[in-house]
Amino acid sequence: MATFILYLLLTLGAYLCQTVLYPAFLMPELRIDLFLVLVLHFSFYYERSKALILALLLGLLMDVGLPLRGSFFPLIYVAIALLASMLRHNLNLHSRRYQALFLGLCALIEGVGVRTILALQDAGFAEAGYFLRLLAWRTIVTALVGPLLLAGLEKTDQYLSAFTVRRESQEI
Amino acid sequence: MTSQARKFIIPIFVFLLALSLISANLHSRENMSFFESLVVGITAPVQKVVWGVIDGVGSVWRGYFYLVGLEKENQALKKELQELKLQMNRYREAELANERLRALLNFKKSIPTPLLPAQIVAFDPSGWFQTILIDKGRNDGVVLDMAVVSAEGLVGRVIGVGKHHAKVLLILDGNSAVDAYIQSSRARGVLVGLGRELCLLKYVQRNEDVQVGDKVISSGMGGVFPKGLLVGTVQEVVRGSSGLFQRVEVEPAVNFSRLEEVMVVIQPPPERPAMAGSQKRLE
Repeated sequence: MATFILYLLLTLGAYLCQTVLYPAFLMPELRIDLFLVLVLHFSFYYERSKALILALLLGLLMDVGLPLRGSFFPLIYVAIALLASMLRHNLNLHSRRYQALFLGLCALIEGVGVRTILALQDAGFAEAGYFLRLLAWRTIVTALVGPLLLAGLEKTDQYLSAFTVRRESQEI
Repeated sequence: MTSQARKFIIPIFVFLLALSLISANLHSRENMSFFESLVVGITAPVQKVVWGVIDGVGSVWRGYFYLVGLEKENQALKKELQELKLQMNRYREAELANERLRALLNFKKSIPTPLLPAQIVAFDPSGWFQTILIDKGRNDGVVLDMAVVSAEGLVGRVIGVGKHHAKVLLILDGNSAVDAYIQSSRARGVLVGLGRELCLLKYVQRNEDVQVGDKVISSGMGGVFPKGLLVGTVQEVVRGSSGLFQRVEVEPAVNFSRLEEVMVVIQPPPERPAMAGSQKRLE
């Protein structure tokens, strides 16, 4: 229950950050998709089914403010969660270096995914030069900062599990 | 169900669900879905409070710390005010003359369009689009495709309406298109967003006279945006060695990074083109 409430609060915090704080303080190039970090954390450390359901919900949440026709973000996040949970046993994704590479790759997939969706919908989109610059910067920033955020989430998980164990032992 | 079967069934189910969500609202997003309304209903009050705090901190910053060069700016503004006063007098004269002429010609006096003030609650969460969420919705009379403006100029149009909130597509977004013209030369074009704080006036013919600093005004064609609204100022004009059109970059009149309050133009949405059959029946 404590884990559920904590992640609910973290999700709300991430949503507020992306909808209110980012536009007020950060340049678009420096934005990290916090939902992506949450999805990857769940995919690395929790059961695949839980990670996929969370990815689906976060995708729906992300889709709320967007002008896209059709909910595409759930599919993007579910695909990334599936990829991460499949790779975690085969690659050394607990290493920070691998995590950085993988986070950067996921940011790249997300950006290309959005651009592809817009192209498929025959919708207008940002100028190619600007889009590529944005994509490159976001990939680099996500690769650099993402592992630190993942480390923070790991610590939170460890603290929560230690707290649960202590409480259970006290009850016994 | 064995754990082995569950291991496969749940991912397949979630994947199929995500796929089916794509087609769920592919054709129309006029009204916010139940999930969207629920999320907006829960998060919007919190977002409003957080935005208020940020705004407050920003005001303190601007009010107390950001006063470097204020005296210089004050002098420049005073000078500008004098010039504007003179200009305003000339306009006032022109307006009076116009009114007299209108009365003479029995023209119907245009009724000013009512405006509904709204506050920005949140921005696009993904960072790939240029949308905002405002705190006025269907219950306040907002409907799809209504124009949204600010005191500085054109902001965007409503693309989704909830009970108490509405989604607005800014003119900066690549999906936005506004029929506009250059004020001085009357050269027409379509203003599209470039995804950042800059727009492009497309389809302006090469032989049209467009200069840096020219004002760009909405033409009112299409019925979504009112005619005569300031959209922006020409920032760069590029005439290539070939091609039919010139590239006209426009800096929006609205400073979107400091936008806090907007106004929704309350007027009936543009009529959809009637079918030939129905027109015949009406006749």
